[in-house]
Amino acid sequence: MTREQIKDELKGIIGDYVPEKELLESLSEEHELIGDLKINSAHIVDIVLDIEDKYDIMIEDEAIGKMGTVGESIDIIFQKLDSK
Amino acid sequence: MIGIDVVDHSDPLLRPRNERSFRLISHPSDQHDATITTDLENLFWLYWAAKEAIYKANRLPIRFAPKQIPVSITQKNGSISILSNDIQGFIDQNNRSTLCICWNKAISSTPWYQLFESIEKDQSLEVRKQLILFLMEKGIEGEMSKDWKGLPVVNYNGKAHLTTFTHHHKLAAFICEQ
Repeated sequence: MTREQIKDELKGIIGDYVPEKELLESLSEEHELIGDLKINSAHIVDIVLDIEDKYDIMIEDEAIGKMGTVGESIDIIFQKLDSK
Repeated sequence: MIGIDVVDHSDPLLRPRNERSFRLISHPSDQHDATITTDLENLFWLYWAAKEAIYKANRLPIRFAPKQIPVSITQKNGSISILSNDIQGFIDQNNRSTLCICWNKAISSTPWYQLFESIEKDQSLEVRKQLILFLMEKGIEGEMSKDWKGLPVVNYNGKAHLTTFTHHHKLAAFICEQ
């Protein structure tokens, strides 16, 4: 699975929680989930659970403090899939 | 140091919280009175709101990492209190929402705060306007500003007062130093 494929799938996951959908049109790895995409912090837990369900992986417990950007979220998924 | 957080339980996007969710936010020193609730979902939101309010009160330029924030939650005479190092506060939880407000022990008077139904699309702007209106009703002319970290303060009576905002789904709230 390529990084770009994960980014597309992550876009589908986080899309539900982005209140202003137009922000998804130019999604980049540098986008902050909370600051730039305006995702409510309470939904970061939902996103982690959605990711775990989609890829059948267990994200590390400290993920919430590390999944600040789209790119960092992709890194976490990529590493977990790689070690699966 | 003052902080606030609200969770709107009516948000349809919130997934159920359970043991799986707890592992993402628990600190080894977290503790609570067993009498507070037996409902894991309610307990999750007590911890979450407390940790996020404490994070905001600390006003540090770091990301919110709930597992790094220890909190003790106790109940006395029906009121739920929180304690985390030198920060104290309380939580109001009902079927609709969980609201936590907290402040540094050195602050002698309970900060002003208000929870309200949000009706505007731009909730960040709305909650700031609501704070200014709240102060006006007290005969205070306030003006929003930022501290040297870029975090919000409200200026009145010739002094910058700490303030913090929160909004989730259809609820918003602010807290402000008296």
